[in-house]
Amino acid sequence: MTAVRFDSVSVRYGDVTALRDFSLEVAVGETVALLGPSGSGKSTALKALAGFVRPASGRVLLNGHDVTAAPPHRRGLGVVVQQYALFPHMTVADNVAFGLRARRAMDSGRVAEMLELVGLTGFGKRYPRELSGGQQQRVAIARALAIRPPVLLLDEPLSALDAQLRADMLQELRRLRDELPDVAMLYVTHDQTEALTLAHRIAVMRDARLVDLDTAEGLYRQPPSEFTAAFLGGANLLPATVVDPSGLVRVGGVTISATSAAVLRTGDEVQVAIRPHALGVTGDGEGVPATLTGLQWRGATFRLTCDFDGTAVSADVAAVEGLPPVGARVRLRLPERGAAVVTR
Amino acid sequence: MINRAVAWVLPPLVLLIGFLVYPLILVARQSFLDDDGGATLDVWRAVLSAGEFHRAIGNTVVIAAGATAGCVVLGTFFAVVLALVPFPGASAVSRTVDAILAFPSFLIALSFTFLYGAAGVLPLGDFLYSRWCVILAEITFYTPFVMRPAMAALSRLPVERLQVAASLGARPWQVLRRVVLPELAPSVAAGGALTLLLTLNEFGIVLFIGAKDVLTLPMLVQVKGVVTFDYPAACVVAVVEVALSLTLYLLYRRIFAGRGDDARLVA
Repeated sequence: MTAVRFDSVSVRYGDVTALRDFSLEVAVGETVALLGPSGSGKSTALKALAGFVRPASGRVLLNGHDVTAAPPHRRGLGVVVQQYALFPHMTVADNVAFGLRARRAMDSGRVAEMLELVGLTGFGKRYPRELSGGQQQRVAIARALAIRPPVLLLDEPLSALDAQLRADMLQELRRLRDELPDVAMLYVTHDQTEALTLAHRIAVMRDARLVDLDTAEGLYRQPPSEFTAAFLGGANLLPATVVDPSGLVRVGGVTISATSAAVLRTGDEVQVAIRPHALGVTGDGEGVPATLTGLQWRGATFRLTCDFDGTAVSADVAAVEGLPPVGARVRLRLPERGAAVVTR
Repeated sequence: MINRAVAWVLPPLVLLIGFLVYPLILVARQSFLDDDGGATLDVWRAVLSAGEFHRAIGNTVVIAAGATAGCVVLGTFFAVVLALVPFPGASAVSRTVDAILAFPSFLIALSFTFLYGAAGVLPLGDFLYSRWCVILAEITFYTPFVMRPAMAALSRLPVERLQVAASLGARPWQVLRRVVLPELAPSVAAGGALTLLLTLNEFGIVLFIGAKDVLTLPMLVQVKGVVTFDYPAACVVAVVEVALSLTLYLLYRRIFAGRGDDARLVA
């Protein structure tokens, strides 16, 4: 059953089109991540659904009802934003109860239940300023869920948190998602890890448009476009020639196996997406020739950058012992499997 | 090191004492002297028991309280409209408000005579010479003193807070009452407190309105000191006025001690 439906929605701010012909359906209990860089239209889509902006054209439907012209207070959605937007003059309990009071449905039991859900039992009498960032975000989630919304909208909810807290909260959100099977979630983020961890499906956005939509795994393993391949997981895009329509492609003299969503024809010039962690770099031996152009230590791995026939290629390796210095010729070892032909 | 600090502090301190504290001491001293220069409390007794003093203090408090209440209501309303209800020319209106802050107060009273006077655009009989007219004039002049800090507070209010409140089911008036006004309250209170202080001491507007029956403390000082040449009585009224203002000022500082930004904004 469809909880949310965008039907060719466009939003304009003056002469600027912030969202163009956007169509998407989210099922009850499903989590869809809107993933894209700044200015891609993902937050605008969420605002159109929440009623914060009025679409210039198209329709927004909630549980089959057209709410395009309905004001936000009549939509009954839970909204969580980046900076929490807690009411500083209210206690935690009053913040959580805000929606219930506004709807004349105050239920202190529900408030306690929500605080327990987000692990903040006993924090009800505190004020937001007395809480950490992570705790404030939990309050914001509890407040949004207190009104039993059919759809929960999360707009970059973890962006204001530090790395460790973000990882913890991501797990919390994942747990919440599993505990709320009746709530559809629309999660706006520019962070691929958040999208991959939380979302059943990911909608990749760029320049006010939806460019790709698939399951998280589908998009990761078989990115339909160069943009998605690069944005989701930072895949390298290497020029290749189809050797066999069954999925054999030649990259710089080395033949590898690649999956493809489209029919391949022998001799086609294509791009193959290969993740940095799937590439190996050696001083000599097998692989395609390249020039090592950079080395960056990233803690658990090293990020090597190489120049392969004018294409910048990134590779993540565990160790760099035995590698020649930056500027020397190296060999890029391509994976036998795991590459994907990108058709757009 | 200490001598250097003293050298820096001493000149302004001397100037402050010489030009501000010393005259006040002279005024206070004069209020306790009789015509022969002897110490007495008779002047205080006479002034404090006089009907005109009671009327003056009553008028001063009522006008200041009424004008402040009006400024708080109107200032908050205009600030909310200008900040939250987008319309063409809102920024121009906002700048006009700043301009009003630079006008002398008597100009408002003068304009009222052209508006509501006998030959004015909108003659309202004796209204021009009533306490209500003084209150209205002070509201007109002092409303920006509340409006300005309120608008500053609204500019700091994240729009997401209003949006989230609406998404939770709050209608616009509920958002206003439960989210916007509580957040505005400290700024409005700071602006209101300052307005109360200023309206207590307002002289120009009352003088230019020329309402015979509207005697306030500053007017009484003027009457005693300039019209009847009763300097000791004028000094008594002035001391009461200063004491009233200082008490309110200290109260204002105490209340807003923890709300530095808003208090500084209007102080």
